[in-house]
Amino acid sequence: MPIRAISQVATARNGLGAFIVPCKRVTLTYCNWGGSSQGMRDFLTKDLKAIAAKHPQIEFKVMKKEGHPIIKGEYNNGKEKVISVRKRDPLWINDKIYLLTQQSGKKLIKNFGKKQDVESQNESIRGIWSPMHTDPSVRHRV
Amino acid sequence: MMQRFASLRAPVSKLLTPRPAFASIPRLFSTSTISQQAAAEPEAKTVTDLTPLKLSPSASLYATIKVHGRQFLVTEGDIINLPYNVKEADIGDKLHLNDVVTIGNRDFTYHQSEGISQDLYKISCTVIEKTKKQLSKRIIKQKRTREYRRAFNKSPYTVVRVNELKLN
Repeated sequence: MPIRAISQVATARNGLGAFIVPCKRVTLTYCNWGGSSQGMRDFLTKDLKAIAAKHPQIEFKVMKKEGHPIIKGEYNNGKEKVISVRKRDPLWINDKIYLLTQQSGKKLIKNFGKKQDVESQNESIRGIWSPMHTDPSVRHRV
Repeated sequence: MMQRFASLRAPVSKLLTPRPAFASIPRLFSTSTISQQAAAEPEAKTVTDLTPLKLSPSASLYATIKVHGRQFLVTEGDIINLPYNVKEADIGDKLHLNDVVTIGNRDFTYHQSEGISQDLYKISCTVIEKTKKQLSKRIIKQKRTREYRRAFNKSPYTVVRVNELKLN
């Protein structure tokens, strides 16, 4: 059987043509009995409808579950992020849901230097410098 | 390839010709001053002609853009990590970059340090992600004291993708 080279597959670059929102689902849990869910209950009754209407690409799932309330974001890359909203007010929960919807599910990076400012998958446009292609009259001789 | 470089570098070789002897130079320093009248005259407005850039065989372009004074060298499809929260934009929003210093390809470069005219190009990008870095911890302590406190920081950054880079 002859060996065949792997044919090049197009790389996925979100945003180059179409843009797909990386966050696919946000799950909110609450408890009907506990006091730590008071802010969450207020949020669900007052604010959630407007936020869900603002993000038509994202599924908002509300679950009744005993214990402290959480919000969970699930992403296209299979990762999920969980934030505890125990004893938090509706405004705080609103901010954290905004944070979950704007992220891509990647692991948070520690820091990036100046060289990581631009990430490119293209070949270098100006090429790699070569001593063989300089003018022979100027070329450095060892 | 060889010929192309040789033709481009021709004036450089002239510059590197050996200097004349020191004694043969009549005056080392000139005492001329720039006359104010000549500086006050309005310069003739030149129309920039980018046909060499457009018609050269290497089609792909690069551009040096400025965002809040910080320069980034980008091509089409690149990701830019902006080290701050772009408050005005959410993910999926399109931004037009209008502060461009350089546009070029393999053979030619057009550079204007004060900024290229906006009619000549179109560069836009999409906001992909608005996120934060890892929690960083820093201990603040004074000398010869036992007390110290910790400072926590999670600095925000915005990721955008350049999806259009072309000359008009």
